[in-house]
Amino acid sequence: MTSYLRVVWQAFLLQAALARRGPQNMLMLLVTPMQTAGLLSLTLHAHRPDAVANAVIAPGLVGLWVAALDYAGRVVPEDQWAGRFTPMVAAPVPLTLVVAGRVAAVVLVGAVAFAESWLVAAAGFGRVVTVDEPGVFVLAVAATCLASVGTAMLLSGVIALSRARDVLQNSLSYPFYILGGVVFPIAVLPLWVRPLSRLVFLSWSAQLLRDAAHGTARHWPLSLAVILALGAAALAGGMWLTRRIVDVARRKGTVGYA
Amino acid sequence: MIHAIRIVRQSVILGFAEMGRVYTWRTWTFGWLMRLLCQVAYYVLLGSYLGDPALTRYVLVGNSVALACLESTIVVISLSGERAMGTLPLLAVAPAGHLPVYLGRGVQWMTTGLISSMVAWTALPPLLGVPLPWPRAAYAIPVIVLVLLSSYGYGCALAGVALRLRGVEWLVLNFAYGIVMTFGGTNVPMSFWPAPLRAVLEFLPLVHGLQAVRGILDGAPTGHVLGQVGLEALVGAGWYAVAWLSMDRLVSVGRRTGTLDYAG
Repeated sequence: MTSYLRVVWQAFLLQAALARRGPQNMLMLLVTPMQTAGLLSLTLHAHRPDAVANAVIAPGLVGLWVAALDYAGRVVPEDQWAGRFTPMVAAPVPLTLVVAGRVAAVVLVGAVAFAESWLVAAAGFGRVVTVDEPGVFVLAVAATCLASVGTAMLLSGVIALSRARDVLQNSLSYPFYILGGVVFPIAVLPLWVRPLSRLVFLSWSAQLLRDAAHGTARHWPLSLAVILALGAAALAGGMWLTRRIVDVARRKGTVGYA
Repeated sequence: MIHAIRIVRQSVILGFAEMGRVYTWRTWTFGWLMRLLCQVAYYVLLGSYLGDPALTRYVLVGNSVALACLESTIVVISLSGERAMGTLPLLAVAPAGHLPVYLGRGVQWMTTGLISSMVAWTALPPLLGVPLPWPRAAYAIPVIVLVLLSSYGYGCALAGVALRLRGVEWLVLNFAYGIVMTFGGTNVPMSFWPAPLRAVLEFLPLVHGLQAVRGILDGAPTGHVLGQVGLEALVGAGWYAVAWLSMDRLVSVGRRTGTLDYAG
């Protein structure tokens, strides 16, 4: 168990070292203030102080999703292009643990968007968002990060297997922000869409975070359980896909292909 | 003139060949276009949650027209890709001169930008229950084309930054259209922002074009609409001039120092 954790930690450090080299990894930190300013301006212009928390929480969730989709999704394909995939497959540790560690590093950076968004609202708009139920809020952020790691793992596998990687990475953003109700309650969506929303962990996270901020989180243990369950299901799917990628590459002799 | 048309034609062919490496018409339609429409719908749904139908329509119009700006500015990626691949010098020695060739490098994004903004303009209002007043909405279409053109100049000018610094093209692209979409009057009127910021925003593409579009839809006096159209054209011309100077200097310095084929 300790050796597995060590592998995850080393993968975490590897991702941090790789990310430091590329200025493009700053993208999310650049986009978050603009996202916050856009959503907050609309909220304030509409004279809806009750929705300020929505506008501040949403960029945090978007940051996590971008991290899962854009950065984590590139982990395996970039290893293939850079020629790191072969030694990783040959190493005596499962690739799934390496990918999990790297994805966790990426998601942790994504979570910085929450703090950034709060700072933009406070410093740029003079709106200091307070949280009425901080304990529930912290638990909700932690569960959301864990679910993001699971989802990122799944997306990483799907994107690595897909022949339309760029299309997937370019397209799976706003549809999920709508389905996930990251900035408005899913009651805004048409009736037939709502069951689909419930399958996206973001919808549970967004509602729980907003409720915790407003002090109206009643069934929070259930929400937390669903977020973690959806994240675990995605993680299991992602680990299965990653194993499959390795097995197929070994069988077909394509491990060294970019 | 014939040279210019040939260059544009070749640029379009090259651009679409490049796009074909990533998208088929199916993946473009059901992937990228759907994503853009969802982007507009996301803000429209927020507008409907926050306010009245007037605000919802304001947001719908702003975000639909903003798609034209978003797609045009993707020229940043196309141009900086030439640097990364080491093909920048080949374009610089083209017999037509480097400037028209460089400036034509992302023409395909204007074409797709026109398609996506037109789909949003015609399909989303009835789908989202926010109808636009026709035929006035049709009169706004030439202004949307002008926004495409001015935003393309803006993208070319900012590509100059991406061509000089390594690995920042996605940062430049997202900053370029993010600033316009956040502060350019897509979701809230310009009067929302402080006066000093507004003074700077006057120089961004989309800002005046969008005001002209809103003026047309609201039946504003022709003089006001034409004034905003003129300003949008002026802003666009300014950005083309910046792009022109920036690329001219890039090539002249690159030739002198022998660094034009450096990949960043």
